[in-house]
Amino acid sequence: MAKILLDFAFPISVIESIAGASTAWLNKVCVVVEPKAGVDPGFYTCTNQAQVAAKTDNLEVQQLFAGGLSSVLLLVSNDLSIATELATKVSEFYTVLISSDFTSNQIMGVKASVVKTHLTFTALLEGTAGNGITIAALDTADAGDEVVTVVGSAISVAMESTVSTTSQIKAALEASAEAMELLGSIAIASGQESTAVTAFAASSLAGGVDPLDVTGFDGVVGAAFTSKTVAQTFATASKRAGFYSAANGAKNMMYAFGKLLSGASWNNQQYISMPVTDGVTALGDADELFDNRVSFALDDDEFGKRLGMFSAGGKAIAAPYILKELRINLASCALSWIASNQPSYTKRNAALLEEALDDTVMRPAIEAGDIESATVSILADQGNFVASGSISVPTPRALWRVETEMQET
Amino acid sequence: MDAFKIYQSDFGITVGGVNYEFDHVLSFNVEDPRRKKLTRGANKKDNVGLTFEEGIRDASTVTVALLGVSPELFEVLCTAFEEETRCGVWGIDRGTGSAKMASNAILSRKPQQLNIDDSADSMTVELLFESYDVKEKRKA
Repeated sequence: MAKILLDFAFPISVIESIAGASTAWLNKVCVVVEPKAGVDPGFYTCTNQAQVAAKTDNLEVQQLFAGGLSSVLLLVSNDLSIATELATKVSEFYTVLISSDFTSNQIMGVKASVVKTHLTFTALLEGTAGNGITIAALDTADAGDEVVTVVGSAISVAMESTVSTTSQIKAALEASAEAMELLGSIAIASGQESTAVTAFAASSLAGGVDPLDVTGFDGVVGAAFTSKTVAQTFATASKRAGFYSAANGAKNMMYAFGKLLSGASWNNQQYISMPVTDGVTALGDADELFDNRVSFALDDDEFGKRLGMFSAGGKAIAAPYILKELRINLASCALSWIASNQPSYTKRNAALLEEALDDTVMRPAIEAGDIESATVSILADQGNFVASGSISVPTPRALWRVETEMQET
Repeated sequence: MDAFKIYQSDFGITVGGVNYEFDHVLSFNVEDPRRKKLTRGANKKDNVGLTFEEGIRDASTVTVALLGVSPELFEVLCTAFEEETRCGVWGIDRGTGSAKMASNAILSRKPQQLNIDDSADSMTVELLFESYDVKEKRKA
């Protein structure tokens, strides 16, 4: 016999509320390293340096633990075409750090090129695809009437051997839209603009290297470089943290991210003590790196090694994390409110949802100092099921330096 | 000029994330004590003056006059008053979506029917809220 009287006399249907979405994964990091001999490529969760050492010879990852993180997800890979791997771990981490196991060329990519008779032909895009481009100069036309033909990735220039000049060949190629879809540039060696070119058979461009591929990953990517220029180029892209280090690779970068991601709140880590030197000892170098929004640590005789700048894509390092957390909380709050209130499609409920988002998400973020202000607007202006919304939030900023003028009287 | 029209508006409170709507609303009044004022020296030298603000420390008040309160809602209101529970008070125009909202409000006076006589107005229960966060959102 079953117990049925309670459900018979007093049936209660329950509308369960939906728990808020977790944002803990925003504090997780994935580090890309090269494998040790015998280790298969793939993801490995490590909670201490010994576990890391079993998978890779890289010694930089331990700086993440030193910075305060308790676990790190290693992506052991032989190259940086990792978009497919990252796609299998959506919403498990928001930061990808590239260790110094990979060179600057592997991160930024290299355009294939070839030099023929003072002419340097360079592919349009970085990558190994450029290595399949061929260029030929055929003695089948008159000088001044050069004709460019493109078949697939084979480019040929009909010219007059030993008469057509480098300038004429360059002009003919640049006038061909098809050729310029393959070639990014044609450079003539200095002073050789009038040099005649001898016809040459199809020659392949070479040296192309595929760049870092994180297509589909919308989080922060960090990498360290020994070249200030390359670090600056990397750091200009949205949510890209480019670190400069003369000789210590990605150690300081790992440490800085370890401090950022292990913190109780999103702080910009201004002037925290750093474990190793990045070789920045001159004020002029520090100014240059700062102005170019390259992250770095500087050496001071009195205060030691200190983080001098920490940014991503030219914005405060905390900005992408704060904004992502805000988006998750807004969506979670809206989901929870709709599930709990089972609202009908009315302007009244649109106003109530707007107030719930303001009260539950925006106001606490403003009071915590994460954002300066916010406006939320929900409009029940469509036919059914879907409302329109607009949210305006200024990008969080960080204060690093104060320029002052003192007048002596 | 668009204005709130009581005959096409909904009113209610939000306590603990749950919305409670008022059935019979006589009026919804907001009083904001903040005043921007001008002053100048007694020497009357300046016709521009200095600005200052009064009433900053005083909370805005929201007075909602209801005609009768259901026992369930009455229980919620009394509990909110005793426990000083923070609630939201709102009035929303159904036609435009415009809203007057008071957030983080407390009930300032114990909800009760003060008078019992033979007039319809005696059924009035006046709810008095205080809040520092009262806003008005206008929509087309």
